[in-house]
Amino acid sequence: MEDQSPTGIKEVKRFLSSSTQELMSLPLKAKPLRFSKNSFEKKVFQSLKNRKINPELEAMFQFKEELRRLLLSTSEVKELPQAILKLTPLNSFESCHVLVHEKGKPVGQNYFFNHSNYEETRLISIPSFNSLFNLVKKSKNKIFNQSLNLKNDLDVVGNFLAKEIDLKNYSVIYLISRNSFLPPSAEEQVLFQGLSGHLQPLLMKILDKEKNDLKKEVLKKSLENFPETLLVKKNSQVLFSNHPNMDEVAKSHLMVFPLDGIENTVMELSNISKDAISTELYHSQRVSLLGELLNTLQHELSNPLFGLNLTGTLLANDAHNSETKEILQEICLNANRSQTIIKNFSNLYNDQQEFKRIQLYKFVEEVITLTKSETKEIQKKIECIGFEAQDSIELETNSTCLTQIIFNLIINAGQAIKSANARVNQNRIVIQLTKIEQTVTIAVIDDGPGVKSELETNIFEPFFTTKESGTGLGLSICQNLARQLGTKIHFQNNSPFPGATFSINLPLV
Amino acid sequence: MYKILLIEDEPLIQKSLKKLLEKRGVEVVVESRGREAIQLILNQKFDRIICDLMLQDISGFDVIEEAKGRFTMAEISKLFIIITAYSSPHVIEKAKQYGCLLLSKPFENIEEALTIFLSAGAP
Repeated sequence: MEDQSPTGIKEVKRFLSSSTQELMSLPLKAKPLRFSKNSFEKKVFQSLKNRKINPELEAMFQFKEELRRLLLSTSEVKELPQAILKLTPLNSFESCHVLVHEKGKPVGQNYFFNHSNYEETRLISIPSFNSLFNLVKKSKNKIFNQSLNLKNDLDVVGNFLAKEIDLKNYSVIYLISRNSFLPPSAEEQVLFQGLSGHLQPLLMKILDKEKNDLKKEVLKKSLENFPETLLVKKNSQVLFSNHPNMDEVAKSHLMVFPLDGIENTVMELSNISKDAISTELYHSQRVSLLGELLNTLQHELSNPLFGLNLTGTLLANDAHNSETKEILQEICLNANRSQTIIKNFSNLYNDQQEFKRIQLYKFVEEVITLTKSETKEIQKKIECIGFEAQDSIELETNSTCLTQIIFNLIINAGQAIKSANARVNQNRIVIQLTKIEQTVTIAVIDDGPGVKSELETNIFEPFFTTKESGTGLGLSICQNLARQLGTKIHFQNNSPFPGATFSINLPLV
Repeated sequence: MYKILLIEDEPLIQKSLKKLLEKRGVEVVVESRGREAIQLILNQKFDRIICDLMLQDISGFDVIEEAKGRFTMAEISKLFIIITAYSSPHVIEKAKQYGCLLLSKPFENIEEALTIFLSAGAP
């Protein structure tokens, strides 16, 4: 039958059965290098040399060997209870718990194994964990019994041994029990306590690894579920993709992000072009913020304004002095006006994507009001042409989008005028309506410097700007919005007079 | 005499509505806090309760919920009229559950609103 003893033990046995002659022929000179003075191994070797068989030493040697194997082979915390119980000197114990709390986490893990091969992982609440940890820490002999109020968390009967290990990011308790009332022997206590020194580096290694594995798993899951096609490449080799057909995606045009700190590795995103991703994101954030703000404002102002209006009306009706009456009526009118303004603004910026019917003249009027504060330092005259004859032009459109397009075009026109202030011009912005068959063209015309011919092709590009503090997003956002309305913004320089014309064509109702 | 409880925390609206309703010959009790209003509802008799939703302490819906201690749902739907400046779809849906009439502030027509307050309530 083959000898199942650990390698070290086999050697010992071979030594013991060998003759003195063989023993003397061993390259002893080399050995002391491996043994520190008075080391355990040296003692074993000495005893061998003296041909004295020391069972105690042999047992200890065997234990060390087992421990070494435990430390090498355990890769997960949940294997640890079983591994501890396998150690020969602790073999007579019935069950083992290893409790782990990652500092800062709301709950701890309770790993359990017993000799009936029953294995379990449970959660343990932090108050229970902490009370046990402190108790164990304070105890000198590390012997406890189940009179402690821990029945729900620990499967132990009678006495048990427990020891705490305090790591940087974790608190750990390991605990063994015979499930009897016989106290553990003094040797067992020493051995058990000594175990912590070996377990500490092991736990540090495997707990950190487990945490990293978990992090990787979470990251992988979120990458897999990312709504756009995504590729990670290293030296043009695909490392990861959330698309089932990697090769096909690898050939398509994707947006590329270099990954910081990892050489030659990039992440690529599909579907959305670079232009769309940045401008749309920027824009939708701005709109939803504005929409929310205006909504809140409307509701917060509604109540007091309504109160003002009500009270004003009441008092005006009761007033005997005609001057007082007039003033009160003026207050009511103003309260009403404020209410209408805030209501219209929040309508302009509502986040609904639906198309609704708007009256173009009223609509443009409101947009002009909106631009007042942003262009107030610019000397200008805004004129509307073509509205008179077509008083009741109605469009079916997304008013939020259209507002922003016209708003932006007017602001741009204002800025163009400002930049050309030194020149002789009239500082005029014209908003011109032209009805052609079943469509209407809204043109915003300024008499600023116009656009240099070499830049004409770039003006709708995102991040393209000639202004010092511009983001270069305005026109590209407008073009995106126009696309959502099913149309396009056209540009041309005026001729023969200077200036620029931006226009948008929309179908009539 | 027809007795109305007006729960409204905007002082100008509260005072004006009280005055307007009194002009129409009804008795008006006003309250701006929800909890106090609940006590009034549970201990006094009103022909109509006009309730704002955004009160300082609790919401108007909480007030109506407490009124269930004394009234059936059918009675609540007739007794209460909700007035609010915040008529989101969610709020309208919830008002529907109680079967109460809901008027958005500002009222488009004051006289009409007053007539509704003095009417028989939700059909």
